[in-house]
Amino acid sequence: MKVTADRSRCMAAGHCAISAPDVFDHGEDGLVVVLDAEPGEERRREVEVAEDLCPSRAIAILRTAAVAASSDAAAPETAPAD
Amino acid sequence: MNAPTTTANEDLFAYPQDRACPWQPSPGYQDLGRQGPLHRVRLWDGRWIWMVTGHSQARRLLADPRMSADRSRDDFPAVLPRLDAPIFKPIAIIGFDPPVHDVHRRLLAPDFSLKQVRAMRPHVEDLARRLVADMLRAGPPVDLVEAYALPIPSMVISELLGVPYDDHEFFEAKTVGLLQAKSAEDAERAGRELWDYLDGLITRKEREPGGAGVLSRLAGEVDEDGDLTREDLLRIALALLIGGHDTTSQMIALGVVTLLEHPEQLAALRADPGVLPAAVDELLRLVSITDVSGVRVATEDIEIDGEVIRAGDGVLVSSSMTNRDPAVFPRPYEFDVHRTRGGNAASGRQHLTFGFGIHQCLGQNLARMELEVAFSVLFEGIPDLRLGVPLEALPTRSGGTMQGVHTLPIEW
Repeated sequence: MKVTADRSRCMAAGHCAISAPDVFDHGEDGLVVVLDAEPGEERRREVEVAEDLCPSRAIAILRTAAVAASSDAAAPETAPAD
Repeated sequence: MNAPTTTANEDLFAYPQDRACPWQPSPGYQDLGRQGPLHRVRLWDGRWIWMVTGHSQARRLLADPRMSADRSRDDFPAVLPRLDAPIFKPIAIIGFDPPVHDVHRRLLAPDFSLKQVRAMRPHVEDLARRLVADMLRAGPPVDLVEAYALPIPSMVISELLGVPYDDHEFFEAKTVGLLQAKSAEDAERAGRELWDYLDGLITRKEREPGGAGVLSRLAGEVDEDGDLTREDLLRIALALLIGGHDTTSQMIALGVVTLLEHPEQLAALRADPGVLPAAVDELLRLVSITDVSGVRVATEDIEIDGEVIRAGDGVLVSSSMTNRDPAVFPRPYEFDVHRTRGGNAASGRQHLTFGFGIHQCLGQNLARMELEVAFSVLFEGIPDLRLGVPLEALPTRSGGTMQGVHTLPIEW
C-alpha cells in the first residue's frame, strides 16, 4: 500500500500520528510528516482510520487499479482504460 | 438568502432547545434525528437555516469549500442573539475562510501539536493533584467547577498563551459574560473588556520582548503589511483565551456528572486505565459540550441527499445528533467506554464534537490531555466522590448552545 500526505492541506489535527504512529508523525511546524510511504498490509486498518479521520483530507491511500477478478468487475459496461 | 423574518417560518422547529438530561440532546432534537439527516429550523430572529443531524452529511458539508465560515458576511446566520455582537464578526481563525484561515492556523500549529501537548502533561498532572489536595483539605461540600474543572484549563491556557493567571477571575468572568450573554449588547460589552485587556497585555509584550507564551512570540511577528497584523493578533488572542477554558472546564464538569451517574462505566475505567483515552472520546461524543459542530453559509447551491442547499442558506451541524447517528455509533444513546474495543483505538474519534474540515478544533489534543488528566487524578484522589445534590437539582445552563452547569456541588 502507498500513502501520501499533502502538507499544503494539513491543519495539524494529529489524528494520523495517533492512528498510525509508525506511518505518520508531525514536524516542528506541527504539520504531517510521512515516516513510511509504503507500509505493509498489516498497517492497512490503522492507515484507513488515519485517512478517514483526517479533517482536511490531507491523507490518501493510493489504490492501484484492482485486477478484475470477479465477473462483476469484468462486466461489459466496465469502460476499458485507455 | 431566505427572508430574515417570515410568518411562514413560524411552524418550523425553534432552535435551540434545552436538554432534559445533561448528557443527552434535547428531546426535540432526538425527534428530528429520527426523521432524517437534514431539517429546516427557525432561529430567534425568524430566519430559518438547515440543521444537520446525519453524520456523513455533516462531514461532507463541513469539508466542502463551498461552505463559508466567514462571519463578516451579511448572510452568515447568527444562531443566538449574542452572536450578532460586532465583536464576533469576525472572530479569528474559526470565522475566516482560506487563505487567511490557513495562514493563521499554521502560525499556531506548533504550539498545539501532539508533541507539545505530551510535553505539557506532567505539569498538568501536578496542577490537578495540587487542586485535589486543596479540595481534600477544605473538605466537602465543594463546588467542583470553581475548585477544579475551571482552574485546570484556565491555568493551562494562560500559561500557554502568556496571559497572567493572576488575572483569571477577570477573564473567566468576562468569558462567561460573553458566552452566556442573552443579548448582542451584553456580549459586546463583555467582549470589549476582554479586548481592551488583551490590547494592554500585547502592548506590554511589544515593549518587553522575550516573554513566555504564544502571544509573546506572536507579538514579535506582527507585520502590518504581512500575514499577521496587530488586529489579527488581538483577535487570535481573544479566540484562544475564550476557546481555551470555558468548553474544557464544562466538559470536565459534565464528564464527571456522566461518570458518576454510570457507576458501571466508572468502574470499568478504574479497572483498566488503558481505557482512559477511549473513555474521554466517548464522553466527548456523548456530552457534545458545545452542541454545535459548526455553522456555515453556502456560497453556491449544493445538492445533498435529494435536497438542495441554496447559495445563501445557513447551515448548522448538531454535534449531539451527528454523534448519535446509528449508522456510525450503534446503540448511540448509551455511554460505553469500551465502544472502540476491537477496532483501532483512534476510531473512537469519529465523533464531531471538535467539528470536521479545516476548522476542526485547534486545541483538541490539548483538551483531550486535560480531560484525561482531570478524570484520572480526580477519581484516584477522591475515590468515593459523589454528587452533592440530586441530578435534577444541578443548576444547568439554559437558552444557548454551550452546555454546562453554573456550579457542581460534590461530596465524598
